[in-house]
Amino acid sequence: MSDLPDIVDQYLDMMRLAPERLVYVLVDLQGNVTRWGGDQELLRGRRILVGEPATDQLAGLTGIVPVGQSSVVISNFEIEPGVVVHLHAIPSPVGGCLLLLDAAAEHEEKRKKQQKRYDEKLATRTKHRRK
Amino acid sequence: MIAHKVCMLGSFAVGKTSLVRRFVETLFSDTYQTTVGVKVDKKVVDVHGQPVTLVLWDIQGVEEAEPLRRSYLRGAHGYLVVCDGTRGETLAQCLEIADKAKVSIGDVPSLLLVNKADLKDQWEIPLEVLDGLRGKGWQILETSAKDGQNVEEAFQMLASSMVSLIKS
Repeated sequence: MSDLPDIVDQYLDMMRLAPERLVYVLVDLQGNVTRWGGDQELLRGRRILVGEPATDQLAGLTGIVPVGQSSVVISNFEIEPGVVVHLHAIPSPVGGCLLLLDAAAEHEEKRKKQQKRYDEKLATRTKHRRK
Repeated sequence: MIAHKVCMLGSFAVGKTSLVRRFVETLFSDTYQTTVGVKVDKKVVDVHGQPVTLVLWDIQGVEEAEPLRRSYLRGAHGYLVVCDGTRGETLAQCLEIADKAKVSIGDVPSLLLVNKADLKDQWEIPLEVLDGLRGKGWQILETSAKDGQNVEEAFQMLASSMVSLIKS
């Protein structure tokens, strides 16, 4: 992927991540967007406004932005209806970077497996109670 | 507008997603749909004439002995911890989760919701146990995502507590 900011390039390299689709959002220390880019389709075509608070544009970032001193990863994060990502919040001296990696396909796979497991657990419990 | 992050915590299948859905969309479905990871929703409520955005983090239910992921709680202003009145063991899990949340994010406003009040004839949690917890300082509401009992009230109470805490 070309034209990625250094912080994104270095992070992907360090974490050995090679996502097919990603969106990055750089924020300042106050949490305002300074730059963004990547695959806009991941956000279903919506645009992020530079200079505006990131949390006003993606409510799910409330509590995550400002990024602070430590990094955080939220896996399988449905940040907007139908938009499932692995969110990586990476601190930097000037604010931070939010990396949204597409997780839609694996999310559905995990959901099906988990649904089956929990349905079985609930059924087993009901059976035991009836005895 | 002020935005507050609220985490929905509890074991699997206690009705966290249904409570959020009832509150945000006034809808309910009897079909159990598990949550993987986190699903975000939001709703604006009125607190003393002031609009407050609640950003609701509906977090995947935990299983027995599974650790609570601290990353989910980061920046949370409050939380609702939910148990299922018809599954007694989910109350103990709730109390454990609340203890861990307190260690992780401090003493932020919280409420314990005993859900599935529409099935009260099948409850395994004695009311005296809940009274005992109230006596220890727990704020508890009996809720039903199915018929809406106390759902609006729960989120509204939490919103008021969060706003009061910030003002103080």
